[in-house]
Amino acid sequence: MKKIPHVLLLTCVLAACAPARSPASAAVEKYLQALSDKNEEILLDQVCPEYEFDALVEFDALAQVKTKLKDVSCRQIDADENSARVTCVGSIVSNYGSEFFSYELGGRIYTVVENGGHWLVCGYTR
Amino acid sequence: MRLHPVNSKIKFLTLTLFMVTVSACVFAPHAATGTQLPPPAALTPTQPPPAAIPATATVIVSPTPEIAPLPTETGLDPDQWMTWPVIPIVTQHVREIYELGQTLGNNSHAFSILGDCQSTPDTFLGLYVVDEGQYYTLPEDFKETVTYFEESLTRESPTIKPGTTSGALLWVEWHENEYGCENDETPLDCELRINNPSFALITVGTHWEARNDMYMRRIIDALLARGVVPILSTKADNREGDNRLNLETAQLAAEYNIPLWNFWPVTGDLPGRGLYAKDGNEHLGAIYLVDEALDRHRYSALQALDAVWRAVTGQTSEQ
Repeated sequence: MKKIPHVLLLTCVLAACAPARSPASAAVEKYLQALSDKNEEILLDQVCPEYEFDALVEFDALAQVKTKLKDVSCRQIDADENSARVTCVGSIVSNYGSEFFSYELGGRIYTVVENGGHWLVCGYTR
Repeated sequence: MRLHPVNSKIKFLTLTLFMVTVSACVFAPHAATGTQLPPPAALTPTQPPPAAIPATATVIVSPTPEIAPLPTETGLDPDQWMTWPVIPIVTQHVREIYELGQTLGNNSHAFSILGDCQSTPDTFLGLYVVDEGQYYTLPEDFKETVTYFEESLTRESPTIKPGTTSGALLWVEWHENEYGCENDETPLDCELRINNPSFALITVGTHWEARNDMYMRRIIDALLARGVVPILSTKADNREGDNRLNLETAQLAAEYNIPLWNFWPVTGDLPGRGLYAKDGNEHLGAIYLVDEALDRHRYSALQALDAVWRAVTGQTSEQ
């Protein structure tokens, strides 16, 4: 009987301690979703000017295959005043007819920069 | 014991090779003359044969071997690309690209294909290597070309994959870290590193995207910087509706003064231009080649490769 309040308390404490989804990680997730949805306008709205070419290459590379995000989740690993680094798990899966391909996101470390309150994806390294 | 037919064939080929080799030794001119007989067709490729010396004709020895000059310009108008010849006109500039590549150490036997699902070895040029029926129907010169580039024609590579666009060739993830490609390496860079080609056939465009021209320029520039001869190609379909991709390709060929294999007219007499829509990929429209069109695709590509290779190396073809 007394166990139930304890479990509830623990759940509330854990929830409070869990890091809030940062704007930087949200920006990366939005970028990836735009990539998968083939929404060029949103994609370009999410990237730094200097990353635009690479973002478009990525976008166009996947232009003719069906894509979806699989188990994608991103989190901020560090930050300073107006930039942050974000890692993700999951993958972009694509298929061309009966052939399936998978592009792993694990291992990518995105650089995200804040610009006028808007967080922009400025590239990634592995 | 009765020999297996294949063993008989090998024995026959070995005997033929021996006889041809002996004949070549007997009749070969002295090395100081500056000429040499061509290698026996479809046997061991080592060097391209010199120009215009038929295998059985009397050898005319000249003090300095002359390489036929090539035109400086194709003289073709990109706006009229539909009437361009199927087999490329090869200019002196292309020979210079090739020669640069040889000084940079490119493999003269290596040929790369930058293409999509209709360029995989089992549907494209690789069939001439693995399918005897296809090989033996070829004219002798083309057999020689197949043999010369044999290893390249059967290769799986990071630049051949279903759905490939010109953008995909520049995206570092497209190769999925296969073929020994590095994380930060584009499929194009990876292919150039592992295959070290002298020629690269670019046959993307069916899976077009808006920035095709920009990516094609990057690809061509990368090839030229390494002395790799780009061979552009037109496509049979008009998925974009106004044929602008083929026009763009012809404009690039003219601007860069590089060869173009004009595949577009090759299927012109087939119903529906030899194209169909594939189950599961209906959204892409009628972009896939029917069997007859695939045969023509393969054969005309070989014609193009043969023409470019022989032109830059100073050979002439009997075809």
